[in-house]
Amino acid sequence: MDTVTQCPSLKPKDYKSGTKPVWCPGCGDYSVLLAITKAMAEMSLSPENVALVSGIGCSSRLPAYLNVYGFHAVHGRALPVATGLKVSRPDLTVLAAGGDGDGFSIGGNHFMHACRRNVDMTYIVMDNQVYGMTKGQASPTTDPDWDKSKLTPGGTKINPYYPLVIALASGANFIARASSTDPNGAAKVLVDAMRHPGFSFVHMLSPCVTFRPEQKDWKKMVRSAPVEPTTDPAIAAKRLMTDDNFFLGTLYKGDRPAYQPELKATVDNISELDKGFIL
Amino acid sequence: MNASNSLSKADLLARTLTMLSETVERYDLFADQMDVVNNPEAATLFRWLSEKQGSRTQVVKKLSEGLTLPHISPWDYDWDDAINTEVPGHSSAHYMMTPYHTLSLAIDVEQSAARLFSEIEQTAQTDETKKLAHGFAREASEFRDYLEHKRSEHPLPEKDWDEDYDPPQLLE
Ligand SMILES: Cc1ncc(C[n+]2csc(CCOP(=O)(O)OP(=O)(O)O)c2C)c(N)n1
Ligand code: SF4
Ligand SMILES: [Mg+2]
Repeated sequence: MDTVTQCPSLKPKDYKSGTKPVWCPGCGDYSVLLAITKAMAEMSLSPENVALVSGIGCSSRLPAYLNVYGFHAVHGRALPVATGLKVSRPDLTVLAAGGDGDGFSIGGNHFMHACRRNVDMTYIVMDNQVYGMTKGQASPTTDPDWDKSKLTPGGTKINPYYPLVIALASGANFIARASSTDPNGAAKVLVDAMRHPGFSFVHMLSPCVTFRPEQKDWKKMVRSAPVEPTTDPAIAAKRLMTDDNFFLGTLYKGDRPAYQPELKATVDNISELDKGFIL
Repeated sequence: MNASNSLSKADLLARTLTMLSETVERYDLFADQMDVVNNPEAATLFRWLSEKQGSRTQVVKKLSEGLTLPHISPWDYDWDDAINTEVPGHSSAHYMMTPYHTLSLAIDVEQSAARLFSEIEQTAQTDETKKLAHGFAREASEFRDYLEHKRSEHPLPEKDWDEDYDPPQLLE
Protein backbone atom coordinates (compact mmCIF):
# COMPACT_ATOMS: atom_id res chain seq x y z
CA MET A 1 0.00 0.00 0.00
CA ASP A 2 1.24 3.44 -0.90
CA THR A 3 1.07 5.64 2.19
CA VAL A 4 3.25 8.48 0.92
CA THR A 5 1.52 11.80 1.54
CA GLN A 6 2.30 14.62 -0.83
CA CYS A 7 0.29 17.66 -1.74
CA PRO A 8 -1.18 19.10 -3.87
CA SER A 9 -3.37 16.17 -4.77
CA LEU A 10 -3.05 16.52 -8.56
CA LYS A 11 0.40 15.99 -10.01
CA PRO A 12 1.60 17.77 -13.17
CA LYS A 13 1.13 14.60 -15.19
CA ASP A 14 -2.55 14.49 -14.19
CA TYR A 15 -3.05 17.58 -16.38
CA LYS A 16 -1.80 15.74 -19.47
CA SER A 17 -4.38 14.20 -21.79
CA GLY A 18 -2.45 11.06 -22.68
CA THR A 19 -2.30 12.03 -26.35
CA LYS A 20 1.34 11.72 -27.33
CA PRO A 21 2.89 14.93 -28.68
CA VAL A 22 4.27 14.76 -32.20
CA TRP A 23 6.72 17.64 -31.82
CA CYS A 24 10.28 16.97 -32.98
CA PRO A 25 12.51 15.47 -30.28
CA GLY A 26 14.34 18.36 -28.62
CA CYS A 27 11.62 20.94 -29.40
CA GLY A 28 11.20 23.57 -26.67
CA ASP A 29 7.44 23.13 -26.71
CA TYR A 30 7.73 19.93 -24.62
CA SER A 31 9.13 21.97 -21.75
CA VAL A 32 6.41 24.57 -22.11
CA LEU A 33 3.80 21.83 -21.82
CA LEU A 34 5.59 20.59 -18.70
CA ALA A 35 5.79 24.10 -17.23
CA ILE A 36 2.06 24.64 -17.79
CA THR A 37 1.18 21.36 -16.07
CA LYS A 38 3.50 22.21 -13.18
CA ALA A 39 1.90 25.62 -12.80
CA MET A 40 -1.61 24.13 -12.82
CA ALA A 41 -0.63 21.50 -10.23
CA GLU A 42 0.98 24.15 -8.07
CA MET A 43 -2.26 26.18 -8.14
CA SER A 44 -4.30 22.99 -7.55
CA LEU A 45 -6.59 23.94 -10.44
CA SER A 46 -9.43 21.59 -11.23
CA PRO A 47 -9.05 20.59 -14.90
CA GLU A 48 -12.76 21.15 -15.50
CA ASN A 49 -12.36 24.79 -14.48
CA VAL A 50 -9.61 25.56 -16.96
CA ALA A 51 -9.68 26.17 -20.71
CA LEU A 52 -6.79 26.63 -23.10
CA VAL A 53 -7.43 28.12 -26.53
CA SER A 54 -4.81 28.07 -29.27
CA GLY A 55 -4.35 29.09 -32.88
CA ILE A 56 -2.47 27.11 -35.53
CA GLY A 57 1.18 26.05 -35.54
CA CYS A 58 3.38 23.48 -33.82
CA SER A 59 3.04 25.34 -30.52
CA SER A 60 -0.72 25.63 -31.01
CA ARG A 61 -1.06 21.86 -30.68
CA LEU A 62 -0.98 22.33 -26.91
CA PRO A 63 -4.70 21.86 -26.14
CA ALA A 64 -4.61 18.29 -27.48
CA TYR A 65 -1.99 17.37 -24.91
CA LEU A 66 -3.75 18.79 -21.88
CA ASN A 67 -6.54 17.38 -19.80
CA VAL A 68 -8.35 20.73 -19.49
CA TYR A 69 -10.97 22.14 -21.86
CA GLY A 70 -9.30 23.03 -25.12
CA PHE A 71 -10.09 24.72 -28.38
CA HIS A 72 -7.79 24.64 -31.40
CA ALA A 73 -8.99 27.80 -33.14
CA VAL A 74 -8.33 29.27 -36.58
CA HIS A 75 -4.84 30.61 -37.34
CA GLY A 76 -4.23 33.83 -35.39
CA ARG A 77 -7.61 33.77 -33.70
CA ALA A 78 -6.90 32.25 -30.28
CA LEU A 79 -7.36 35.58 -28.51
CA PRO A 80 -10.86 36.51 -29.74
CA VAL A 81 -12.08 33.01 -28.93
CA ALA A 82 -10.45 33.09 -25.48
CA THR A 83 -11.86 36.58 -24.86
CA GLY A 84 -15.38 35.46 -25.71
CA LEU A 85 -15.01 32.45 -23.47
CA LYS A 86 -13.72 34.39 -20.49
CA VAL A 87 -16.32 37.15 -20.60
CA SER A 88 -19.13 34.63 -20.85
CA ARG A 89 -17.62 32.21 -18.30
CA PRO A 90 -15.66 34.40 -15.87
CA ASP A 91 -15.54 31.47 -13.45
CA LEU A 92 -13.06 29.63 -15.75
CA THR A 93 -9.29 30.09 -15.72
CA VAL A 94 -8.65 30.92 -19.35
CA LEU A 95 -5.33 30.60 -21.14
CA ALA A 96 -4.52 31.30 -24.76
CA ALA A 97 -1.40 29.97 -26.43
CA GLY A 98 0.34 29.84 -29.78
CA GLY A 99 3.43 30.78 -31.71
CA ASP A 100 5.10 33.98 -32.84
CA GLY A 101 3.62 33.60 -36.32
CA ASP A 102 0.14 32.90 -35.00
CA GLY A 103 0.22 35.66 -32.41
CA PHE A 104 2.23 38.41 -34.06
CA SER A 105 1.67 37.98 -37.83
CA ILE A 106 -1.83 36.90 -38.69
CA GLY A 107 -3.00 37.45 -35.11
CA GLY A 108 -1.06 40.67 -34.49
CA ASN A 109 -4.08 42.90 -34.51
CA HIS A 110 -5.92 40.72 -32.01
CA PHE A 111 -2.86 40.80 -29.77
CA MET A 112 -2.92 44.60 -29.54
CA HIS A 113 -6.61 44.76 -28.83
CA ALA A 114 -6.55 41.92 -26.31
CA CYS A 115 -3.89 43.89 -24.41
CA ARG A 116 -6.10 47.00 -24.57
CA ARG A 117 -9.22 45.15 -23.53
CA ASN A 118 -7.51 43.62 -20.51
CA VAL A 119 -9.78 40.64 -20.02
CA ASP A 120 -8.54 38.41 -17.19
CA MET A 121 -6.58 35.68 -18.97
CA THR A 122 -3.03 34.54 -19.67
CA TYR A 123 -1.57 34.54 -23.15
CA ILE A 124 1.54 32.40 -23.74
CA VAL A 125 3.42 32.97 -26.98
CA MET A 126 6.00 30.28 -27.67
CA ASP A 127 8.51 32.29 -29.66
CA ASN A 128 10.98 30.42 -31.87
CA GLN A 129 11.37 33.26 -34.35
CA VAL A 130 10.14 31.07 -37.18
CA TYR A 131 7.07 29.44 -38.67
CA GLY A 132 7.90 25.90 -37.56
CA MET A 133 4.82 24.10 -38.76
CA THR A 134 5.07 25.34 -42.36
CA LYS A 135 8.75 24.35 -42.52
CA GLY A 136 10.82 27.31 -41.57
CA GLN A 137 9.82 30.74 -42.85
CA ALA A 138 10.71 34.03 -41.18
CA SER A 139 8.24 35.40 -38.62
CA PRO A 140 7.83 38.91 -37.20
CA THR A 141 10.39 38.21 -34.45
CA THR A 142 13.05 36.81 -36.81
CA ASP A 143 16.30 38.77 -36.99
CA PRO A 144 16.55 40.74 -40.25
CA ASP A 145 19.72 38.91 -41.35
CA TRP A 146 18.43 35.32 -40.90
CA ASP A 147 18.82 33.98 -44.42
CA LYS A 148 18.10 30.27 -44.10
CA SER A 149 14.67 30.35 -45.71
CA LYS A 150 14.48 30.42 -49.47
CA LEU A 151 11.49 32.74 -49.19
CA THR A 152 13.69 35.48 -47.73
CA PRO A 153 17.08 35.18 -49.44
CA GLY A 154 19.57 37.45 -47.68
CA GLY A 155 17.18 37.78 -44.74
CA THR A 156 13.98 39.77 -44.30
CA LYS A 157 15.99 42.97 -43.86
CA ILE A 158 13.10 44.38 -41.84
CA ASN A 159 12.91 45.39 -38.25
CA PRO A 160 11.79 42.62 -35.90
CA TYR A 161 8.66 43.05 -33.80
CA TYR A 162 9.15 43.64 -30.06
CA PRO A 163 6.19 41.90 -28.46
CA LEU A 164 6.82 43.03 -24.90
CA VAL A 165 7.06 46.67 -25.89
CA ILE A 166 3.89 46.39 -27.95
CA ALA A 167 2.11 44.64 -25.07
CA LEU A 168 3.03 47.47 -22.70
CA ALA A 169 2.08 50.22 -25.13
CA SER A 170 -1.24 48.50 -25.78
CA GLY A 171 -2.18 48.10 -22.12
CA ALA A 172 -1.35 44.52 -21.06
CA ASN A 173 -1.54 44.31 -17.28
CA PHE A 174 1.26 41.78 -16.74
CA ILE A 175 4.34 41.24 -18.91
CA ALA A 176 6.91 38.52 -18.38
CA ARG A 177 9.41 36.38 -20.21
CA ALA A 178 10.14 32.74 -19.51
CA SER A 179 12.13 30.10 -21.31
CA SER A 180 11.56 26.48 -22.16
CA THR A 181 15.19 25.91 -21.21
CA ASP A 182 14.10 26.38 -17.58
CA PRO A 183 10.67 24.74 -17.18
CA ASN A 184 10.69 25.15 -13.41
CA GLY A 185 11.35 28.88 -13.64
CA ALA A 186 8.73 29.10 -16.39
CA ALA A 187 6.19 27.40 -14.11
CA LYS A 188 6.75 30.15 -11.54
CA VAL A 189 6.19 32.90 -14.12
CA LEU A 190 3.00 31.15 -15.29
CA VAL A 191 1.64 30.92 -11.76
CA ASP A 192 2.28 34.66 -11.28
CA ALA A 193 0.66 35.41 -14.65
CA MET A 194 -2.46 33.37 -13.92
CA ARG A 195 -2.85 34.93 -10.47
CA HIS A 196 -2.52 38.49 -11.75
CA PRO A 197 -5.83 40.09 -12.72
CA GLY A 198 -6.33 41.27 -16.29
CA PHE A 199 -4.49 40.36 -19.45
CA SER A 200 -1.16 38.66 -18.70
CA PHE A 201 1.31 38.21 -21.50
CA VAL A 202 4.08 35.61 -21.18
CA HIS A 203 6.75 35.71 -23.86
CA MET A 204 8.04 32.13 -23.80
CA LEU A 205 11.32 31.45 -25.59
CA SER A 206 10.95 27.98 -27.10
CA PRO A 207 13.63 26.82 -29.55
CA CYS A 208 12.75 25.18 -32.85
CA VAL A 209 15.56 22.63 -33.06
CA THR A 210 14.65 21.67 -36.62
CA PHE A 211 14.56 24.99 -38.46
CA ARG A 212 16.54 27.13 -36.01
CA PRO A 213 19.07 24.64 -34.56
CA GLU A 214 21.28 27.51 -33.42
CA GLN A 215 18.59 28.32 -30.82
CA LYS A 216 19.89 25.39 -28.75
CA ASP A 217 22.38 27.99 -27.48
CA TRP A 218 19.57 29.96 -25.87
CA LYS A 219 20.00 27.91 -22.73
CA LYS A 220 23.40 29.55 -22.29
CA MET A 221 22.08 33.01 -23.09
CA VAL A 222 19.00 33.32 -20.89
CA ARG A 223 19.35 34.79 -17.41
CA SER A 224 17.13 36.15 -14.67
CA ALA A 225 16.35 39.84 -15.02
CA PRO A 226 18.17 41.56 -12.15
CA VAL A 227 15.10 43.68 -11.36
CA GLU A 228 11.84 43.44 -9.46
CA PRO A 229 8.58 43.70 -11.42
CA THR A 230 7.58 47.34 -11.72
CA THR A 231 4.08 48.80 -11.64
CA ASP A 232 5.29 51.97 -13.34
CA PRO A 233 4.75 51.85 -17.12
CA ALA A 234 7.47 54.47 -17.69
CA ILE A 235 10.09 52.35 -15.91
CA ALA A 236 8.78 49.27 -17.70
CA ALA A 237 9.02 51.04 -21.08
CA LYS A 238 12.68 51.84 -20.56
CA ARG A 239 13.32 48.33 -19.31
CA LEU A 240 11.60 46.67 -22.26
CA MET A 241 13.09 49.01 -24.86
CA THR A 242 16.61 48.15 -23.72
CA ASP A 243 15.92 44.45 -23.23
CA ASP A 244 18.09 42.00 -25.20
CA ASN A 245 15.39 39.30 -25.45
CA PHE A 246 17.06 36.98 -22.94
CA PHE A 247 16.11 38.46 -19.57
CA LEU A 248 13.68 36.18 -17.78
CA GLY A 249 11.10 36.93 -15.13
CA THR A 250 8.17 39.21 -14.47
CA LEU A 251 9.01 42.62 -15.88
CA TYR A 252 5.79 44.59 -15.43
CA LYS A 253 2.74 44.22 -13.19
CA GLY A 254 0.05 46.80 -13.84
CA ASP A 255 -2.95 47.64 -11.72
CA ARG A 256 -5.66 48.32 -14.30
CA PRO A 257 -8.96 46.65 -13.47
CA ALA A 258 -9.81 43.71 -15.70
CA TYR A 259 -12.54 44.17 -18.28
CA GLN A 260 -15.59 42.10 -17.50
CA PRO A 261 -18.97 43.10 -18.91
CA GLU A 262 -21.98 42.48 -16.76
CA LEU A 263 -23.47 39.14 -17.65
CA LYS A 264 -27.11 38.97 -18.66
CA ALA A 265 -29.08 35.80 -18.34
CA THR A 266 -30.11 36.07 -21.99
CA VAL A 267 -29.25 38.47 -24.76
CA ASP A 268 -32.26 40.03 -26.45
CA ASN A 269 -30.64 40.68 -29.78
CA ILE A 270 -27.23 40.63 -31.43
CA SER A 271 -26.79 44.41 -31.53
CA GLU A 272 -27.15 44.47 -27.75
CA LEU A 273 -24.33 41.96 -27.54
CA ASP A 274 -22.20 44.05 -29.93
CA LYS A 275 -22.42 47.08 -27.68
CA GLY A 276 -20.59 45.27 -24.91
CA PHE A 277 -17.54 44.96 -27.13
CA ILE A 278 -17.26 48.56 -28.33
CA LEU A 279 -14.22 50.16 -26.73
CA MET B 1 18.76 20.57 -7.20
CA ASN B 2 21.10 22.25 -4.75
CA ALA B 3 22.74 20.35 -1.95
CA SER B 4 21.60 21.78 1.32
CA ASN B 5 23.03 21.15 4.75
CA SER B 6 19.70 21.43 6.49
CA LEU B 7 17.87 18.62 4.69
CA SER B 8 15.84 16.35 6.90
CA LYS B 9 15.24 12.72 5.98
CA ALA B 10 11.76 13.65 4.69
CA ASP B 11 13.19 16.56 2.65
CA LEU B 12 15.76 14.31 1.05
CA LEU B 13 13.20 11.62 0.27
CA ALA B 14 10.78 14.16 -1.20
CA ARG B 15 13.44 15.66 -3.42
CA THR B 16 14.72 12.28 -4.52
CA LEU B 17 11.21 11.07 -5.31
CA THR B 18 10.46 14.16 -7.37
CA MET B 19 13.74 13.82 -9.21
CA LEU B 20 13.30 10.11 -9.92
CA SER B 21 9.68 10.33 -10.99
CA GLU B 22 10.46 13.22 -13.29
CA THR B 23 13.29 11.20 -14.82
CA VAL B 24 10.98 8.22 -15.36
CA GLU B 25 8.46 10.48 -17.11
CA ARG B 26 11.22 11.99 -19.26
CA TYR B 27 12.55 8.57 -20.33
CA ASP B 28 9.00 7.47 -21.20
CA LEU B 29 8.51 10.62 -23.24
CA PHE B 30 11.83 10.13 -25.04
CA ALA B 31 10.84 6.52 -25.81
CA ASP B 32 7.55 7.72 -27.32
CA GLN B 33 9.39 10.36 -29.33
CA MET B 34 11.80 7.77 -30.70
CA ASP B 35 8.84 5.58 -31.74
CA VAL B 36 7.42 8.50 -33.70
CA VAL B 37 10.70 9.19 -35.51
CA ASN B 38 11.28 5.48 -36.17
CA ASN B 39 14.36 5.09 -34.01
CA PRO B 40 13.56 1.73 -32.35
CA GLU B 41 17.01 1.20 -30.79
CA ALA B 42 16.84 4.43 -28.82
CA ALA B 43 13.15 3.81 -27.97
CA THR B 44 13.94 0.38 -26.50
CA LEU B 45 16.81 1.75 -24.45
CA PHE B 46 14.73 4.62 -23.07
CA ARG B 47 11.99 2.15 -22.06
CA TRP B 48 14.59 0.01 -20.29
CA LEU B 49 16.00 3.08 -18.52
CA SER B 50 12.51 4.10 -17.46
CA GLU B 51 11.89 0.65 -15.97
CA LYS B 52 15.16 0.76 -14.04
CA GLN B 53 14.46 4.23 -12.73
CA GLY B 54 10.88 3.17 -11.97
CA SER B 55 12.04 0.39 -9.66
CA ARG B 56 14.32 2.80 -7.84
CA THR B 57 11.33 5.11 -7.42
CA GLN B 58 9.40 2.23 -5.81
CA VAL B 59 12.24 1.64 -3.35
CA VAL B 60 12.29 5.30 -2.34
CA LYS B 61 8.51 5.26 -1.98
CA LYS B 62 8.83 2.29 0.34
CA LEU B 63 11.41 4.15 2.42
CA SER B 64 8.95 7.06 2.65
CA GLU B 65 6.04 5.01 3.92
CA GLY B 66 4.48 6.49 7.03
CA LEU B 67 6.28 9.80 6.61
CA THR B 68 4.62 13.03 5.52
CA LEU B 69 6.83 14.39 2.81
CA PRO B 70 7.03 18.16 2.38
CA HIS B 71 5.62 19.71 -0.76
CA ILE B 72 8.30 20.99 -3.12
CA SER B 73 7.44 23.66 -5.65
CA PRO B 74 9.12 23.30 -9.05
CA TRP B 75 11.11 26.47 -8.48
CA ASP B 76 12.59 25.05 -5.29
CA TYR B 77 14.85 23.08 -7.60
CA ASP B 78 17.38 24.66 -9.83
CA TRP B 79 18.00 21.90 -12.31
CA ASP B 80 17.74 23.40 -15.72
CA ASP B 81 17.18 22.01 -19.17
CA ALA B 82 20.72 20.88 -19.69
CA ILE B 83 22.42 17.56 -19.84
CA ASN B 84 24.57 16.92 -16.76
CA THR B 85 21.72 17.55 -14.39
CA GLU B 86 19.82 14.97 -12.40
CA VAL B 87 16.86 15.05 -14.77
CA PRO B 88 17.57 14.91 -18.49
CA GLY B 89 16.42 18.08 -20.24
CA HIS B 90 13.99 17.91 -23.14
CA SER B 91 16.61 19.34 -25.45
CA SER B 92 18.92 16.36 -24.93
CA ALA B 93 16.92 14.15 -27.29
CA HIS B 94 17.72 14.01 -30.99
CA TYR B 95 15.80 12.07 -33.61
CA MET B 96 18.96 10.44 -34.97
CA MET B 97 20.53 9.64 -31.62
CA THR B 98 22.32 6.28 -31.42
CA PRO B 99 22.35 3.81 -28.49
CA TYR B 100 25.71 5.31 -27.60
CA HIS B 101 24.15 8.76 -27.24
CA THR B 102 21.18 7.37 -25.33
CA LEU B 103 23.42 5.66 -22.79
CA SER B 104 25.70 8.71 -22.57
CA LEU B 105 22.70 10.83 -21.66
CA ALA B 106 21.76 8.40 -18.88
CA ILE B 107 25.39 8.22 -17.68
CA ASP B 108 25.44 12.01 -17.32
CA VAL B 109 22.22 11.87 -15.32
CA GLU B 110 23.62 9.24 -12.91
CA GLN B 111 26.94 11.04 -12.65
CA SER B 112 25.20 14.24 -11.74
CA ALA B 113 22.92 12.49 -9.23
CA ALA B 114 25.91 10.74 -7.62
CA ARG B 115 27.71 14.08 -7.26
CA LEU B 116 24.66 15.72 -5.75
CA PHE B 117 24.01 12.95 -3.20
CA SER B 118 27.69 12.93 -2.19
CA GLU B 119 27.52 16.66 -1.56
CA ILE B 120 24.40 16.15 0.53
CA GLU B 121 26.11 13.35 2.45
CA GLN B 122 29.09 15.56 3.22
CA THR B 123 27.06 18.50 4.43
CA ALA B 124 24.22 16.63 6.16
CA GLN B 125 23.59 17.51 9.80
CA THR B 126 22.04 14.23 10.90
CA ASP B 127 23.32 10.66 10.65
CA GLU B 128 20.00 9.61 9.19
CA THR B 129 20.25 11.99 6.23
CA LYS B 130 23.95 11.24 5.80
CA LYS B 131 23.32 7.52 5.62
CA LEU B 132 20.45 7.86 3.21
CA ALA B 133 22.39 10.22 0.94
CA HIS B 134 25.36 7.84 1.05
CA GLY B 135 23.15 4.98 -0.14
CA PHE B 136 21.64 7.06 -2.94
CA ALA B 137 25.09 8.24 -4.08
CA ARG B 138 26.39 4.67 -4.13
CA GLU B 139 23.41 3.46 -6.11
CA ALA B 140 23.79 6.22 -8.69
CA SER B 141 27.52 5.52 -9.10
CA GLU B 142 26.94 1.79 -9.45
CA PHE B 143 24.28 2.34 -12.07
CA ARG B 144 26.56 4.80 -13.88
CA ASP B 145 29.34 2.16 -13.96
CA TYR B 146 26.93 -0.41 -15.29
CA LEU B 147 25.75 1.97 -18.00
CA GLU B 148 29.33 2.72 -18.96
CA HIS B 149 29.95 -0.97 -19.36
CA LYS B 150 26.82 -1.32 -21.46
CA ARG B 151 27.82 1.66 -23.59
CA SER B 152 31.20 0.07 -24.34
CA GLU B 153 29.31 -2.63 -26.28
CA HIS B 154 28.19 0.01 -28.77
CA PRO B 155 30.37 1.66 -31.40
CA LEU B 156 31.34 5.30 -31.06
CA PRO B 157 29.05 7.40 -33.27
CA GLU B 158 30.47 8.62 -36.56
CA LYS B 159 31.59 12.26 -36.61
CA ASP B 160 28.66 13.25 -38.83
CA TRP B 161 26.08 11.06 -37.07
CA ASP B 162 23.45 13.80 -37.20
CA GLU B 163 23.85 14.56 -40.88
CA ASP B 164 20.48 13.97 -42.51
CA TYR B 165 20.64 13.35 -46.25
CA ASP B 166 16.93 14.10 -46.51
CA PRO B 167 16.79 17.10 -44.19
CA PRO B 168 13.57 18.71 -43.04
CA GLN B 169 14.10 21.95 -44.95
CA LEU B 170 11.86 24.08 -47.04
CA LEU B 171 12.54 23.12 -50.67
CA GLU B 172 10.96 25.37 -53.21
C1 LIG C 1 -5.34 31.28 -42.56
C2 LIG C 1 -4.07 30.50 -42.59
N1 LIG C 1 -2.97 31.01 -43.15
C3 LIG C 1 -1.82 30.32 -43.17
C4 LIG C 1 -1.75 29.09 -42.60
C5 LIG C 1 -0.46 28.31 -42.66
N2 LIG C 1 0.21 28.28 -41.38
C6 LIG C 1 0.04 27.23 -40.53
S1 LIG C 1 0.95 27.39 -39.14
C7 LIG C 1 1.63 28.85 -39.67
C8 LIG C 1 2.65 29.59 -38.89
C9 LIG C 1 3.00 28.96 -37.62
O1 LIG C 1 4.02 29.67 -36.97
P1 LIG C 1 4.02 29.90 -35.43
O2 LIG C 1 2.73 30.48 -35.00
O3 LIG C 1 5.23 30.67 -35.09
O4 LIG C 1 4.03 28.43 -34.82
P2 LIG C 1 5.22 27.36 -34.70
O5 LIG C 1 4.88 26.33 -35.71
O6 LIG C 1 6.52 28.03 -34.98
O7 LIG C 1 5.11 26.88 -33.30
C10 LIG C 1 1.11 29.20 -40.93
C11 LIG C 1 1.51 30.41 -41.66
C12 LIG C 1 -2.92 28.58 -41.99
N3 LIG C 1 -2.92 27.40 -41.36
N4 LIG C 1 -4.05 29.30 -41.99
S1 SF4 D 1 9.35 22.11 -36.45
FE1 SF4 D 1 10.32 23.27 -34.80
S2 SF4 D 1 8.61 24.15 -33.60
FE2 SF4 D 1 7.79 22.49 -34.86
S3 SF4 D 1 7.85 20.65 -33.55
FE3 SF4 D 1 9.74 20.68 -34.76
S4 SF4 D 1 11.22 21.73 -33.46
FE4 SF4 D 1 9.19 22.21 -32.64
MG1 LIG E 1 7.03 30.03 -34.36
